[in-house]
Amino acid sequence: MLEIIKYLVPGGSGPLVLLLLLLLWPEKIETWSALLWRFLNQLRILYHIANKRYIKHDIQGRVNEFTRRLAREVPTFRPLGIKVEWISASTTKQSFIDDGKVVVRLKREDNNNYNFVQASMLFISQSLLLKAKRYISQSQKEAADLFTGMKLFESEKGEVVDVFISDWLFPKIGDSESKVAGYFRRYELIDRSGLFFPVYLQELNFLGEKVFGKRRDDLIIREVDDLIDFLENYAKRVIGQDIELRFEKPHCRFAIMIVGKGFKVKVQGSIDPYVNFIKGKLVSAEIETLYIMGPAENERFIRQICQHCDQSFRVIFTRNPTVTLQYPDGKSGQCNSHLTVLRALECKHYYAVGDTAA
Amino acid sequence: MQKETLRAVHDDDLEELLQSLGLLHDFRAGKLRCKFCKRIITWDNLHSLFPDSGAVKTVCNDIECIKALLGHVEKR
Repeated sequence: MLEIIKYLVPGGSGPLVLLLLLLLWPEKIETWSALLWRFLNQLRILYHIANKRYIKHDIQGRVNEFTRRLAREVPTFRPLGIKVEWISASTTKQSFIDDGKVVVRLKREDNNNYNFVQASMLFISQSLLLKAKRYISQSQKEAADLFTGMKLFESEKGEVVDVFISDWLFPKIGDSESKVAGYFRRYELIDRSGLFFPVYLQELNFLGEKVFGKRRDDLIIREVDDLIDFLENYAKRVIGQDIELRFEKPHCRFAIMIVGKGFKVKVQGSIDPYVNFIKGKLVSAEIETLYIMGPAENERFIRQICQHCDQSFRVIFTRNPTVTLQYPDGKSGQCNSHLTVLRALECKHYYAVGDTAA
Repeated sequence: MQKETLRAVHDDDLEELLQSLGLLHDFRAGKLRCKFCKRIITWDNLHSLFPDSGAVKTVCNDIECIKALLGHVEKR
């Protein structure tokens, strides 16, 4: 990061560098601020203020950094940050009631792990799948929250993971027969093939965006179960195996296209079969999202395909995830891959009255 | 980036806040209960406070109660 700044501001002054940092990486400033206040707290300087500032900046820095990471994984996820606001200890009962907000207790602790996990999980529960959670089942949602939490804490220290496991994960999936535990295991499998965030959560986000006015109902819950089955099946796919790659349901309509190392790319080297398939089969099937996946070395080839489909689809997202592949000999291995997500220029929306498309 | 505010009370301010809200006496006497599971609220298990039907309610740190709180807030 410092190298980038040196490049942007050669010989730049301290304040200018700080300003750039603040603009480009505000979470880093939060993190450094948290470290400073933690240091003062440990020295017992400004004991009360230092601990509160440390907790506030630490939570804000870590959660906001994660939400930015999540936005890079889920194409249409709008990053929503967190701001910790301390309530005045002299708040009267009436103003507390008038304010109408939940107040969370954050503990005085040296490492802030408990507070961080609590704040993060509350934040994930409220911000993830903001609209879709009205339609999916409680266990589908809880498992998605827990799985996202686990991915957040994966990059943290072991003590944070311990708090998460004992306070959140174990109480919910300790009973391996529970519905939440079942969904959680399947999400793990889907994530191994790189589809949990950019496809599953993405499709749920689209679902939330396109259904209006309805409350949770069995039709949508079953559709989400089918979506999980579909992605799980893809995750278990052995290289070269033919499986269903189109998911055509009333609310979610998408296809996965694999641009692999096969004959069409290596020998023919022509994008025509892919473009013709998209323009012919997928457009007429009213596919709304197309996920094109392939080895990282096929990125340019995939880009060419996309350029020839811009009458029907627009590119909304590209990334290069590392995915786990299953080989025919029963072994598995990791591979650098490329993913481009295309969205149809026209998509349907559903309204509560009569559940009609518009 | 748009930000959601998380209102919080620090341990150091907790007793004073409970006093201001008129809950400290009941808290010390072990008469404060979790809105959802009815367990007695203690220093160790107090998770959050929220207004409900003109009163201040408390929630314990059981995960089911936290989830119930989130569901309750969503419905409002």
